[in-house]
Amino acid sequence: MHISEGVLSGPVLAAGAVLGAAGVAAGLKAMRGEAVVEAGVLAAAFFVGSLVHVPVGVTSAHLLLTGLLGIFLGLAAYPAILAALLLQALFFQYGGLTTLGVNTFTMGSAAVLAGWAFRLVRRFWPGPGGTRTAAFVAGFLGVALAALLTALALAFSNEGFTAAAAALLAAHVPVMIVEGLVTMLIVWFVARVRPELLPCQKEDRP
Amino acid sequence: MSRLLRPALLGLILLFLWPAAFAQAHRVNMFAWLEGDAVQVECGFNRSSPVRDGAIKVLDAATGALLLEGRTDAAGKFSFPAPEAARRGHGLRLLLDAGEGHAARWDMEAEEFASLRGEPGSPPSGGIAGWPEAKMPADSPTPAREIPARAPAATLAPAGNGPATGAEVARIVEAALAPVRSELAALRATLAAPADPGLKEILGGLGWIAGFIGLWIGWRARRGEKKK
Repeated sequence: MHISEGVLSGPVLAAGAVLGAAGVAAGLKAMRGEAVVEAGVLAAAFFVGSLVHVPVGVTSAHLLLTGLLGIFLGLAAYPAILAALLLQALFFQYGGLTTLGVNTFTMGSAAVLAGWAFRLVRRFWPGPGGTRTAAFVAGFLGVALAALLTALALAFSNEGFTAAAAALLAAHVPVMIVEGLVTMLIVWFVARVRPELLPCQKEDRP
Repeated sequence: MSRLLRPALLGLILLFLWPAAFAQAHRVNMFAWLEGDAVQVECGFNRSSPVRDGAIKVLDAATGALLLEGRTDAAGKFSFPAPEAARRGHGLRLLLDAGEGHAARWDMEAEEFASLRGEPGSPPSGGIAGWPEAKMPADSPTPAREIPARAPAATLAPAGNGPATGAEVARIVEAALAPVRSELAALRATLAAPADPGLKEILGGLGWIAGFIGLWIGWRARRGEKKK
């Protein structure tokens, strides 16, 4: 879900850059201690995840892993996603340098919101089952929110919001499910091996 | 729990191993070339799958005016007769909107349309070499420009037995050049946007991320030392 160069108008690009920069600044401030390495590892996962394509009918969409980043990084997802998007633009020609701000904001915000959803579900449903459900929800929402925010950015250019949102959401339903499963598996694995990496791990250990 | 996880894991592994999973990407390619009197456009997602029903806009590169619009067919192709602006010595800018934020651009320089100039009613613009001998007497019919997309060998010979006129030579050269132009345009598109990312790009990117981690940790450590 990278918006290419030349699609968005100047004001949208500028607004996206400002919002993206604010997110990155907040994320860098929140990143303490070992979190830098964690953010780097997840940025690498996000960077490579874009190469894993999920065939969707005639077209194809790729993994985003926004939900996963949101769960483990919280606000630090913004700088991690910025780094990964920058390298994707340079190495893979996905997206572009001018749309970096907008894409950072849309993907980063989707990640942070999905991370909140993870914490919320876990608060109401502690225990291993709740953790897995929360991880699936976060993975699913991470893609859905990214699609919605991308549609919002496109709404200010040629395509109308509803048309863009419908097209993006419809195209990404299989990705949402796959992401939910991937996120669930990774979180389940981490909860068994290194539960201290998960947020609010005091409440429950599977 | 594991009853649910195991099939999910298996499905995911199968999905990742699916060869087609890596074959497609979502970068959009567009390239265009002049064939005879018409501009041919080809659009695809990384060449492997055509852009169906993509919206194409053709702009005058000099003035930015919208000249014409169209949509690609099922094979991702679109063609249009060279607009008046191109004959007057303006370049063209082609924009493709493949939807969902996927867009591409292709520029055609004024020089690419040099062969179209020297037609009656549009004097060749100075500066760029056109076909100086191609000027026809005022009363002559329009020079033969109806070159088929792929010129059959027959059109490569001058009509009649006498010495070939400038217009005939221009037409023959033009017909012979059409496939070369198509090849060149495809090559230019490939150069501008290389194929799917390979191991080099992936490892390069991962290396950069490791570098970012080091930079950030180092910078923070230095800042911490200064505070002490």
